[in-house]
Formats: sequence, C-alpha cells, structure tokens
Amino acid sequence: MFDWDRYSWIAAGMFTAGIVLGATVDGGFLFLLVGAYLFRPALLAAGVRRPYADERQLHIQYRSGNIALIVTVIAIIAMAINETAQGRTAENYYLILFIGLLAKALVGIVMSRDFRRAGLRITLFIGLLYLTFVGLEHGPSLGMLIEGAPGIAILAVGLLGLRWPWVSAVLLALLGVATLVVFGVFGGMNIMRVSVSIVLSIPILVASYCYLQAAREPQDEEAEPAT
Amino acid sequence: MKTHLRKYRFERGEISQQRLADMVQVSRQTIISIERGDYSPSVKLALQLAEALKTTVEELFELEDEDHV
Repeated sequence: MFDWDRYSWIAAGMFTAGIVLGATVDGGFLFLLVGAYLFRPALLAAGVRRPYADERQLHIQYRSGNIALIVTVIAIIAMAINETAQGRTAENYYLILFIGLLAKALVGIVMSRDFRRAGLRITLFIGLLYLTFVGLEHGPSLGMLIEGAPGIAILAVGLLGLRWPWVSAVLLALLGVATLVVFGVFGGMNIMRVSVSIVLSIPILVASYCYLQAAREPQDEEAEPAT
Repeated sequence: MKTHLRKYRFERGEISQQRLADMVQVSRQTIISIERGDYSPSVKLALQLAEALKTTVEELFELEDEDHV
C-alpha cells in the first residue's frame, strides 16, 4: 500500500541531489542515493512513521534485510582477509563488522523485552569481551588485573542487577558515561578511539536502560489482568 | 493452512482481488499470496478479511492435517 507522500518527496530530493552533485561537484555525493534508498525503511525501522507497506511486504523487507546483512558480513570478511594477505591491517573492517553485528544484537535483545535477562547478557558479553582483549594484550600478570578492572566492574554490576536492577541501572549509566569520556575524549580524538568508545559505551548504556525497565516491571504476582 | 478466500470472494458478488485488497488495505499481491497459501496472514488481517467478506475466520481458513497440535 504505497502512497506518494512527503517522505517520498524527501527521498526523491536526496536522489536528485545525489545525481546532480555527484556529477558536478564530487563523486562522494553519490552516497546520497543510498540515503534516498534507505530513507523510508530507516524511518520505519526507527518507528518514526506508520508502516507504508502491508504485513507481507514488511515480512519481505525483514527477510531481505537479513539476507543483505549476511551478504555484507561475508563481503567484509573477504575484504579483511584480502587486506591481511597483502600485509595491510584489517582493523577497520573488523570494527565495521563488529559495530553492525552489535547493533543487530542490541536491537534484537531490547526488542525481546525480557529486560532483566537483556541487561545481564549485555553486561556479561561486554565485560568478558573487555577482559579477553586485556588478557590477550597482557597475558596473566598484575597489569592484566589492573587494566581488566573495568571489565570486572562491568561483570559485577551486571550480576548485581539480577537482585537490584535499580542499582545496576544507575551504576551502568555512570560507567557508560565514564567509558565514553575516558576512551573517547582523553588520549586524542581519532576514528578508532571514538569507535571503541561507542562499542563499549553504547552497550553499557543500553544495559542500563534494560535494568531500568526491569526495575519498573511489576512482579508476576502483582500483575493484574487487563481491563 | 487451507484457505477459502477465493470461494468467498465469488460468493460475495465476485469481489475482485484488487477490491478486496483495497477493503482491507493491503496490496493485491498479498491477497494472491494468501489465496495460494504462500502467506499466512496475521490474526488482525484474517479478522479484517472475514469482516470484509461477511464471514468468520474459521470459515475462511482451515488447518490442514499436519497443522493440528
């Protein structure tokens, strides 16, 4: 059920601008074509506007989106392998891959609305991931324990949320902001540091949100039937 | 799942696929997919189809042997 509306005009405008500016000013403007193509699905995915497609068409979009993700992941891995084989670093490829998969996992886990479990899963994953990286870098040493302290703190706060979700929500919010500041601001701003801070901070802040929601959920025995 | 959508469309004055699609606000392709059994509609759409065709969901759709619990 597609109707031409103001969003169609915006997408058409982006498309035209992409073509014109891409041809006359800089080839980089051709990325506007991607924006035009993804504009409406992105709004829909973000819940900004009501569905423009019927349920079967949305189901098709969901499946094609998943297939597109799998194809993109395979392409990134192939490119990373190629870069490594030629003796170049492939860190950026792995980071892109990780950000994409992390976004999918976080959205899925939050949409499941099993908030307490979601908070725990996110904190366990991030905490263990952090400790793994620190462990690989330092090996078993005192330095590992010291540098691994934030990872241990994330794990501890995550586990705390099983009993006191409010406490964990507040502590994780502080931790999320702290990691954003420490990794993102100090030590110079470069794309790698900012990306790492996003990879660490956003999941922690999402976990904080999950525990906040878990704290607000009524207990089973308190639930009343809807009237 | 077996569907009797086609039968009810004709029994209710030979309603075209497009007209039925317009009545329940979906695309014609969706009606075609449901009639072919390629797509199972949501509860909401099934109820809307039943209402549009002045019948019940149970009359429109039927579980096949392998679908039963």
